[in-house]
Amino acid sequence: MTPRQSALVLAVTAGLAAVVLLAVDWSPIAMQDPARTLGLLNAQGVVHLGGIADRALFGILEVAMFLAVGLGLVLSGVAAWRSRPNARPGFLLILAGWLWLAAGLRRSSDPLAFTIGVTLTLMYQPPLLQLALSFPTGILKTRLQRVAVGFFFSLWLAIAVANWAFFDPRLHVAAGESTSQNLLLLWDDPGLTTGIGNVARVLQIGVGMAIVVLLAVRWHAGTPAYRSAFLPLGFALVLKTGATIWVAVAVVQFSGPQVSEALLWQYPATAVVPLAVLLGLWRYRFARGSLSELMVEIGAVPLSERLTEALRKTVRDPSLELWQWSPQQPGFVDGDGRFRELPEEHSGRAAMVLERKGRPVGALVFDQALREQPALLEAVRSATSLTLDNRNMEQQLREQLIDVRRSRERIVTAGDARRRQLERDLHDGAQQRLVAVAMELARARRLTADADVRELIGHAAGELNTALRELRELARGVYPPSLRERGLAGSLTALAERTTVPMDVQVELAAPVPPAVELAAYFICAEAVTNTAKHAGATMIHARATGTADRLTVAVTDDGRGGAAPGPDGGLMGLADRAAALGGTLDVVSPPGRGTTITAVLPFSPDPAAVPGLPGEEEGATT
Amino acid sequence: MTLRVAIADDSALLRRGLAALLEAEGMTVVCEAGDAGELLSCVDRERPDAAVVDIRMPPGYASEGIEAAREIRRRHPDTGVLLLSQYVETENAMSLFAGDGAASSGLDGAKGLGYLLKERVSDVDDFLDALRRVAAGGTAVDPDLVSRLVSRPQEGRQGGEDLSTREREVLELMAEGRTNQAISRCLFLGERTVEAHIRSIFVKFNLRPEPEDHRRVLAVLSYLRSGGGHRAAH
Repeated sequence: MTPRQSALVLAVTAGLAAVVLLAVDWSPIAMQDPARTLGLLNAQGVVHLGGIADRALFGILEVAMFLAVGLGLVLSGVAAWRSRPNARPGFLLILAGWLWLAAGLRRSSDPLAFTIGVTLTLMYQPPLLQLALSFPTGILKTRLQRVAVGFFFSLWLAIAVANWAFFDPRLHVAAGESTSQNLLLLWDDPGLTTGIGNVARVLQIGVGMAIVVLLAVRWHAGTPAYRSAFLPLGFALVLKTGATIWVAVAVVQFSGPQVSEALLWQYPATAVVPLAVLLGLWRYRFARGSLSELMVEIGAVPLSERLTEALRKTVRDPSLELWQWSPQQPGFVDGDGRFRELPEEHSGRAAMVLERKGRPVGALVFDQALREQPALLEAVRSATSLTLDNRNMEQQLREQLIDVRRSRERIVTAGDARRRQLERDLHDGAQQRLVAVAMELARARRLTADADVRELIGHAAGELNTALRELRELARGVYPPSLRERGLAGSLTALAERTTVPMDVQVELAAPVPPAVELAAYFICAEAVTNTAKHAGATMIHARATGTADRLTVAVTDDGRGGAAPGPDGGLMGLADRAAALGGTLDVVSPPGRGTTITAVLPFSPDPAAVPGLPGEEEGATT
Repeated sequence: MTLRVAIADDSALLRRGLAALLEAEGMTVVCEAGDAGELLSCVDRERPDAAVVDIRMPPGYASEGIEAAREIRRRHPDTGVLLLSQYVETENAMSLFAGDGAASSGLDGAKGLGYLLKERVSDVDDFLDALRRVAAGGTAVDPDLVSRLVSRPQEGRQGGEDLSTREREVLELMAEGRTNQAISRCLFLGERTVEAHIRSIFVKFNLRPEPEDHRRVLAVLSYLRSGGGHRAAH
């Protein structure tokens, strides 16, 4: 509904209310005229009321209640029009409100206005009946329904005209006086009027009962979604119909002020209808509200039974199902893994295929009645598609993460292999050759008697030894030979012997440790010990390596000055990377003045193909 | 006396160089083996006085030489074995000297065994001395390894700080496997003085005096390696 439309509707309503208020004749004789009683169509009722001397006079209270009901109908119609994609229910409410207000012209002394008011007295009812029959869309689907609604409008108009065609109120008011001039009057015939009145009453009561039965049947056959949407309006209509029957009976059967009271009951009974529509709207908005909660929940949970539950709650359809698309054997699979066919048209179930990039990813299967809430369905579709999308991306991300971790692990492993090879090449190549040269020099030195030559050769041999020593340290940094020969315990002991700070080593391994993990543990210890020796001013280092069946924990603790932090270009960061590449962690705890502890946890798997530390790849069973 | 020596090294270049060096010194090289198996059959056949063995050999290129050395010592107690390596590690030395059963059968593990950096061969006199010592049932331990152990920092005290400088020099030479005679020659001390220093060292280490050179080498190495303190020798 556009703002202009709202303004137009409200302006018409205000104009109508103003016209009615201006038309009301407030003279005492008009105020006691039973023919002008609002809501009382039945001629017999007018005659009956006219015989009661102490009947209530028309007053401000009744005008206020009358206007409130009319405005309530119009305003809730506007609200319904605004919030629903389908304008029909709102329009029907507004129409009912206008017809209700127009019936107020009956209080006028102008014959034409009076006659119009009388004719329109009960005409607000057919639009409400149409709304009830077509709820929640307001659109009549079958020919029968359209015929029935047309019948209501005609019947109600016919009853109004017939009731007053042979009734001149001015002749029949026993207590007091009627000044109302009835333009519908053909001739006055009380007998005919009584007959018409009886027939009309039977018809009205019959139609009212039929509608109650019809709604009861529809309620019984209706889906949970329909019931949820219709519940408030259904109650209101039953109440309203009951009140209408009650007024029709009471006006003829009761006497005295009771009749006036019975007539006043029509106002609250009618006011309940727009209130029920508003309540229905609130429930609709509540469903939208829980949809936004659903979006939040979707962000956190994978596609699961919980999502289906949330969807069911949102659309108030406990039979809703979410099927997944199986590309292997094209078709939809339900939560139990069975292949399912999409429901056929008119089977009571409806399906909505969820697509992503033109390919199906799943299907929502739900009660057909949900089709009548296209906005809600669209929102659910978006939410569910979003979830499927999320899930898909999460799956891809997880696969990529696995790939990245594997590749990082491969890079580290390949690097380690190259280190081993390089150390071996140095050992078997350059170092051997240099040793061989040293031997040749030694022999040459012993063969010559020339002291100068001997000194020269001796000098060269010294340089050569220095080179050999440097080469040895270089090779040890590339790959510690003791690791290959003596394992982690041996290489850590060797490390301790070379360190300038006293260091004790404890190694306890429950299972063989993969070479990459062993090497990482060694490098972490070596770097930690080097840092301690260089910077910490420590008097003692403790190195512990504890291995379980699937992880190795190394901890290097010193009693130095602390304050160590892994910097971007520091060795510690490289070690953290190395630990991370193996799916492990590296922690540095180094409070100033209280020593440093570097702890690395390196998980490993006896099966080298598996990547440790990854969440389960098979989780997230779908429904 | 011509020393008969077997050589084992996977590098032909080094085998040749070493053989040439030893032959130039008048020794007889009885065989040049490329791996442990070849060496063992050669030793079985030739019964050399000593074998110079590379620690890293096929197939594993780890510490095959140590196994071969033990096997030779077991089969031929008269054949000394001098292991050469690009690295000297205490763990290797201890596993060589105190190998299977040696610890329980007294301290004979270091008898007729030596463990030197490969490049020591370029200091020909020292190398030949070590080789002769090993061939004669003595011990040779690489000075690098010894000085690493001796100067190794210990919890609560700096290594050897309770030894005098002289005692420390004596300790190092003793740990290298040298005889008292050699030590006194090296340090220009009288043999009696050397003996006194050694007694003092053993007292300070709280070790039982060992009459035989190879036994005291192992005792001292074990003591140093175990981190010092006042522990009694096993």
